[in-house]
Amino acid sequence: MPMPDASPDLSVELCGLTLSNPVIAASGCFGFGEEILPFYHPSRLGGISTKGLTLRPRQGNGGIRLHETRAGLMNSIGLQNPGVDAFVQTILPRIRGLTPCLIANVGGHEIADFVEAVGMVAAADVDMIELNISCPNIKCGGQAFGNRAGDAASVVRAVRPVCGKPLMVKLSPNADDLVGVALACEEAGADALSLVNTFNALAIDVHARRAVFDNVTAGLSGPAILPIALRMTRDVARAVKIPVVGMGGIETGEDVAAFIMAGARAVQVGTAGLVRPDALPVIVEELARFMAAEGIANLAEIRGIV
Amino acid sequence: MTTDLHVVEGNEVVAPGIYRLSAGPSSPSAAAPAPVQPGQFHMLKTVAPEPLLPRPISIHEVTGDVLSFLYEVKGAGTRNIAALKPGDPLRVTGPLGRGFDVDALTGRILLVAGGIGIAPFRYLARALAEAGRTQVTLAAGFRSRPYGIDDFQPYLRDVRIATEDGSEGVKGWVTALYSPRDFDVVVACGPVPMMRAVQQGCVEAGTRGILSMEARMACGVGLCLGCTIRTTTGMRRVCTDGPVFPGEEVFFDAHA
Repeated sequence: MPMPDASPDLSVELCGLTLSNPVIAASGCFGFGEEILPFYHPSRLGGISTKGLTLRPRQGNGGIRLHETRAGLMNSIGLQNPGVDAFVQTILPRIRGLTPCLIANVGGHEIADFVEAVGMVAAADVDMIELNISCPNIKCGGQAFGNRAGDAASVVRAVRPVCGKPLMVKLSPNADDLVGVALACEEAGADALSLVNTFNALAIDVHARRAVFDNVTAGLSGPAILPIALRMTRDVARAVKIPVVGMGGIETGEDVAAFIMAGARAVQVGTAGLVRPDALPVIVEELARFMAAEGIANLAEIRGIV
Repeated sequence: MTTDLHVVEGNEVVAPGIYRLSAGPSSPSAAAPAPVQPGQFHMLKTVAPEPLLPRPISIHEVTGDVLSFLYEVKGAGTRNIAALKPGDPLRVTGPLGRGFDVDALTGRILLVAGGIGIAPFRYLARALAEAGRTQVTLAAGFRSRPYGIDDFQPYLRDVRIATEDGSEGVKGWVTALYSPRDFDVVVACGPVPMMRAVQQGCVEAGTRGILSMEARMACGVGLCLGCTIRTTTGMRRVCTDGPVFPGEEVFFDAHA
């Protein structure tokens, strides 16, 4: 029987990078990493996934952008971002030193935009690209790229040649066949998968007798989605050979352990860091304590055991 | 900065649905409190798991390391806070946001408050008095009986009250209580229709206007872009670019 280790090894390997721990700040919930500096230095995290970038700047959605639900948060931000050019020229030099694992999240509404945006960002000093395929495809009736295996694979195949960095594809839980989309992305050249993005959901203001959000539906995150996200992470991790980064409602170190046991290589945490700015480093500490208490020397011991 | 557990010292009803809460650090060994600028806010959350998110509440007064908040019960979050009793724990993150620049407020200063928009003006009025400003006027409008105005009158030259039901002061809107031309700067906090009227009045009079904005927030610290408003310089975050904005920069049509 192994000796319980007072300081377990939290490190994980992801696409050739060694992360000090498996907790990555999720895209859209961490700005560009600078905003958290009054609270802690993000080098305490495994990595950072940036606010979603698009080829051109976007103002984002009007109207209400947030709506709280029981154990959850709905958002309809609309990919407000300064565009890839401003990111590469102005923001990236400021944030490059914040983390050894800087993941640039890139979205788009048509394949040509994806290719141009990924090409520009991948050529800059980032460590990895995370492809957001949950955006609606304007050339396909607004159906999200990530909903169908064929559409998802076509984006991944298109950006693969211009992406000289590890390419992680962020899957939408709204896919018709999530495992099918995952396998198609792997086949098309993805180096890793992250899941899940927010669940498409609806809130109605019954007094006003209309939808809360201008876009009618919005994305649901937070603890409400954890059990579904965990099941989906396990489904995908068992189907593909590439690493899977799990996320969805993680609030504690034990939640991280659950995703690792479901087969995740690492995790991302989003909403919990909005509820409480210092949540992510606390989760890392909780994971270390959990591993020490359970006599787990490293995460490989528990990865995929369920 | 941290999210600290504070202990509630008082939480009294001051008017129907309006409470004043004071809270201090949970342990005397806690680090020296961060200086709080008038117009800043804190994110407050009880230790109950629901609702998930903390609530942004502007600072009403600071006494040593004790923070006071004047707030209106509007939903589940403020209802939970209103139920707190002395000795109960409260999670406090802050101070947050860009508050009022006291150094830049000079001459004849008018504070315009609508309802719970009175909350940040007590601490601002004290800071202005301490900075030697002697020409500070408050114009405050309420639906019915006024609240939150009694204890900062020593800092003001003039207090003008309007109530919609005529229960006190002038019957009608707060904007009928003043002419922007009589002031060098107008500082406003209140509901959108009032803020829009203040902005328009200031533009017409050529008087500098300062608006303290309110928005739904998730994080309160600039991460989520959930609280943005439309301004002349693009979409800006109420939490970190504000909540205090130059009056002429805010567009009100996008979030009426």
